[in-house]
Order: sequence, then C-alpha cells, then structure tokens
Amino acid sequence: MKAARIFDYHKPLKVVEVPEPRIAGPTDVIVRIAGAGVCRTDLHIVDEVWREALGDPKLPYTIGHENAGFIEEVGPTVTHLKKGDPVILHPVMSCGVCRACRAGNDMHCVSTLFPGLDGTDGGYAELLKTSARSVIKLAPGTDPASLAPYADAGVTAYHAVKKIAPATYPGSTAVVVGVGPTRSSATAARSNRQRWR
Amino acid sequence: MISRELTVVGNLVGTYNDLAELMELNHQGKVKIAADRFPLEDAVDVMHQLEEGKIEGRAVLVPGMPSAKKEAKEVAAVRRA
Repeated sequence: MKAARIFDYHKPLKVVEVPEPRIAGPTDVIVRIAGAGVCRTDLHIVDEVWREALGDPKLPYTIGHENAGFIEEVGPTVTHLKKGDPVILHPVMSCGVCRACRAGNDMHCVSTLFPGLDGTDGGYAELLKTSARSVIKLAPGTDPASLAPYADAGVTAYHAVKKIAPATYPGSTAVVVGVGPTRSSATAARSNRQRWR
Repeated sequence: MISRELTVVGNLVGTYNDLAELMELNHQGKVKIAADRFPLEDAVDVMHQLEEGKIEGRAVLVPGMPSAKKEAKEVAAVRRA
C-alpha cells in the first residue's frame, strides 16, 4: 500500500510502497483511511521539534495522527465493530488498565502509543493499525473523510473549552490566541456551550 | 497570582468521550470544520502549502484520490518523450 513517511528530519516525506499492517493482537483494528488531517504538528515532526519529547522515534515511519475511515479488519476479541463501519480514531492507543485510562484520560495513559508521532505508523497511508479502545463509531452513512481533523484539532479545542467553562460565566470575556483550525473549533464549541459571549 | 487566585491549566488533546461528544455535536450540525481534500500522493506539496499559510481551514489527505499534479507531470513526460 501507499504511505507518506518521514525518512530524515528536515527533508520532505516520501510517498512509498509499504507492507499492509496485519492483525497481531486480539484487540487490534485495521482501518481503511478515508481522510488524514494535515496538522502543523506534522511540520514540527519533520523540523525535528518533537524528536526528544517523543523519545527519539526510529525512522522511517508513517506520520498522520488525525485519522478517520472505515473498519477493514478486527482482532478476534473485537465484537462491536465490523468491516465497513465508518469510524474516527482517538489519537492515542491506550492500555485501558492504568489509573489515567480508568479515569477516562486515555491521553495520559502510562504505556500509550501515539500513531503518527512516536514512531508508530500513522494515517498518511491506505491502512492504519490501532486498538479497539481508540475507535469511535460514526453514525451509519457518515462520510468520515472530512471529519478527520476532529481527531486532534477538534478534540483539543473541545477539551480546552470544557476545562475553562466552569471558570467562566455569562458575560465572561475569553481571548483565543492563533487563527488555525483548533481556534475555529474552540470558537464553535464555546458558542455551543453558550457560556461565553 | 496569589491575591487574584489565578490558575494555569494545561491541555493535551482530549478524552475518548470528548471526541465522541464532538462527533454527536457534528452530527447535530452544531459544530463544523472547514476541511479541503487532497490526494495522499500530494502530501509533500500540501505540507509545503501549510507551511506557507496557503491552507484555509484543515487539509485532509485522501488515499486513492487522483493526483492532478502527478498526472500533469506524467502527461508532460509523455509529451517530452
């Protein structure tokens, strides 16, 4: 299959043929990517900004952490998903048993994998392997492609708005720095909550 | 900081349930995202456009979407040959 991969820092990605991912564990899920969002973080990865923070990932790997598509194949213990289901993927693959996971904070999982960032292959590809815990089923008939950016830009803004909401009141003033897609999502989310003007 | 009881709060993506809720809001038409689709094969070009501030909203790479750029190059190569 085709995948866009980072081979060297400070050099353009290469679109190459790579082997398709295979189901290896009982909760593995393979998703046929319909859309993968292009995030500024992807530029930062190529610019080596995240190298140390991500534990110096081994190159090459496939980037792309805003992923949505259709279920292609599931591991033997996954019964709630079937081939063809439209899905969006929470960006991290979490363990499910640590304190953070049990509190619902998968992004703080102690043994998390982050496809597209930490050397685990991401979604700039035809297929992506993740775990069942990351998969959110979309309403039947949904076209997942253009929803992909919700997986990071959208959820980041929504989470931030939810956190700040209890500290604000009708008539509060908020300052949003930056004008990218994350800001747009924050503006939408915050007006939906009708707590800020 | 002390006398105004200020708090600094960080933010790392969001929870699984946050994303599920956001998908429900999107389904209800209450949250929308501006996303343009590009062929996966044009990933390098799209990242370059993002770097130069030419992408409005979000770019989404779509595998299997025909690459006009690649086809144009192939046509040019055939014409040269």
